Amino acid sequence: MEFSFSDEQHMMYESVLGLFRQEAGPALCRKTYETGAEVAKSLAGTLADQGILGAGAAELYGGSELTLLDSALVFEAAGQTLLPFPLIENYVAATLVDRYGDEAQKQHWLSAMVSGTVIPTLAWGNVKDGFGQEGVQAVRQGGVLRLYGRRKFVPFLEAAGVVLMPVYATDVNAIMLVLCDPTQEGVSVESLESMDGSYPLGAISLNGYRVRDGELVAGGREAWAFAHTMGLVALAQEALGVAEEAFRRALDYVKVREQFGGPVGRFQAVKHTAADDYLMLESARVANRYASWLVSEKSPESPLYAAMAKAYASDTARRVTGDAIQLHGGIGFTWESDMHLYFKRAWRLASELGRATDLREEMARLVIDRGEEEGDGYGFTI
Amino acid sequence: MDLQFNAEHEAFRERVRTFLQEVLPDGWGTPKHPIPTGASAQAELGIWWERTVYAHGFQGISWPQEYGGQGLSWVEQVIFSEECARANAPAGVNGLGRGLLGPTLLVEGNEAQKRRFIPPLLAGEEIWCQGYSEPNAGSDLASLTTRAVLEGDEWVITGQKIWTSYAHLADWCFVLARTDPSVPKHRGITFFLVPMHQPGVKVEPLVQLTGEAHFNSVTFDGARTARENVVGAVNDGWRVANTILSFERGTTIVGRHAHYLREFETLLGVARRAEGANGSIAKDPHYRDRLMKLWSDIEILRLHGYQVITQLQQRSRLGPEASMLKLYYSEMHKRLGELAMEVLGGAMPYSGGLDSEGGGSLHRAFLWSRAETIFAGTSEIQKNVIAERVLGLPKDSR
Repeated sequence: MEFSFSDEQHMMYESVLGLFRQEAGPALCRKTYETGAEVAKSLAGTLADQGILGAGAAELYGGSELTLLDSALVFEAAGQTLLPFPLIENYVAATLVDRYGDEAQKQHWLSAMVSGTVIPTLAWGNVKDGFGQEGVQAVRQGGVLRLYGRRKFVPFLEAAGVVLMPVYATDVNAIMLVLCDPTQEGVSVESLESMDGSYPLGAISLNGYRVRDGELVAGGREAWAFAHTMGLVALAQEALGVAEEAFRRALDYVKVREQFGGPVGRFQAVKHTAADDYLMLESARVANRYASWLVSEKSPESPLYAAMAKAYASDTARRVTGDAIQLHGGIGFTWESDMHLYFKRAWRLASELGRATDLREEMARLVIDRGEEEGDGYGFTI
Repeated sequence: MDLQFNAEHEAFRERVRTFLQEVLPDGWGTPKHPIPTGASAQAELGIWWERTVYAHGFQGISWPQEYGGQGLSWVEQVIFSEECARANAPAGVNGLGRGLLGPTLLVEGNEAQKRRFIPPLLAGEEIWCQGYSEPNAGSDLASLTTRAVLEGDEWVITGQKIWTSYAHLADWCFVLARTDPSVPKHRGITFFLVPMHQPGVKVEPLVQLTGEAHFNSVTFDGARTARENVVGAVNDGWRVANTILSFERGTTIVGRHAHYLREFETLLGVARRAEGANGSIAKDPHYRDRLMKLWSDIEILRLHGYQVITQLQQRSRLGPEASMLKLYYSEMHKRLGELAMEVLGGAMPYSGGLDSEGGGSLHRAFLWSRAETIFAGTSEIQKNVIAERVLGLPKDSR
């Protein structure tokens, strides 16, 4: 029984965190607020040099075959340093192509994703969000598969060389995955205003986009569900990183900020907020670690615990980054303070791939409803 | 990362399961064989359990064999607690001896004390209670005023202790008493072992809000104990006492998740049968969300447990992070009890109610959980400990 990361995993974390602190951090995050997705292009080379891109891919194609458990600490470091790069999208896209793609696709796409010459992104915003997200349909016309529709909230779209998106194939009533090249005909791209300016968003419109050879990835719904599960855990881990950094900085602040003749951190009201936040952070940490491990072990319980981890980390990150503003007092509400950068990022991460309440509904179907069908207990071993 | 127990540990788990099946009646804790209620029946059950566990070689699992323990590791201890929680096994009456005094003696006691006190503790022949809190020394325990004075070869103890669980059954009490009033409060306290059966000790029951009387007021009026019944040095009792607190807060928590998961399952059964404004409570989005929040909290307690096992294997002691676990489980259990009462709806006032499947376990959890955020250090104290010792915030301004 050893419920901890290995020394090797810790060493990788330390080195990646050091690199991210040097290359990213609040300053680069702020720059992204001004310049948008371009920043990602300038980071791609550095990340590729360190073997951080496409890390889930097989070594044969230049990847490092890192499991989600191996990569979890990298996502945490990305959160801590507000890295303005679609790193999770990169990991998920490469892992999907590695697992479901054919040989030619792997040869072509994985080396491009690993080397950073192509930045992949995912059109994985929720289709059922009630804000005009309609999804994309694939229609077969004279032997050619064409895409029609629009996907909003696509991260770093303007820097992306390829957009992996789920499309609905009307003739076969199935979900298909397409690697869409946004520079081709039949595509238009617009940028959307993003509250978390370190995560630029775009909308992609497809008006008869012709799916070419090698752009259709196998796996369909199963592959997309796998992407969803991986994504939940990765986002949870980034949210943890964001929250723990904001927390650490707030803690440093209340130790030095003086009122009533001493540091405000000596007051119980402040201490109790800090203790509550710390407990939530440590709880999110073990939930994430467990979920990462389950996914890496290909456990059938992965979707349940991925949803749990993401819901818990979302609640934690929103609360802790909010408290970090509060603990800073007036300065915490300024643009000059970095606290809003963490706060906005936490809330953005919490909204992705389902609200915490949506995820708990997913869990309820597995825990409450499945148990009812089985008639005894709820189907899990204690 | 490896969450598998090895073959040896799994074999141990099988042994524990077999033991529990053998000794607990069929259908234990279900309507088929409800757990006895009433003070004397529970006391009898508790003593029987202590001795049964000992007779089957499961007492003091991680304690050295030379003092009657089993010489195994924390992992086996955790497996045992987990299986007991799953089987709803009785709690016993010597938890303070097993959870607090024993571990302290093993670390702080001298050889003679270990040989004298640990074997009968494990055998369930001597029951222990804890003489810490006083009417005017609760969270501020170090301001306690019970005095101990050396007269010849005996310490003479005078003062009142309160919230003393199992004092009415206990043979011995471990007592914190002031031995030097002239120094700052933390430095003049000594840790004593005091026999309960003597004229200078008076035990009066205190009825808890559950209606039971597990705890008591204990008055020491010139009670005596032998000069050698001091653990650690005279006036070093505060440090000795703090050695145990982290045991109390940490290691007893591992394994609890199985107990809470069982309560959750009962709650889920109730939710399926209970009707609300939108039909079955188990189909109501509001309650589904809260049920899954609670389930997450219980599962995360299991994971915190894995973390504790990992730490104990690496450094065999727990520090202030034990406060975190105590805070976590006690607050969580309060939420469990409250949610259960809300789910019961109009049946909530009836202790049997829809909860009959769990034998009233949800009502018990609901009421008992109010104690858990108070005993062994209130939630507020735990938060101070976390803030100061883990997060490094400055002391002061209570």
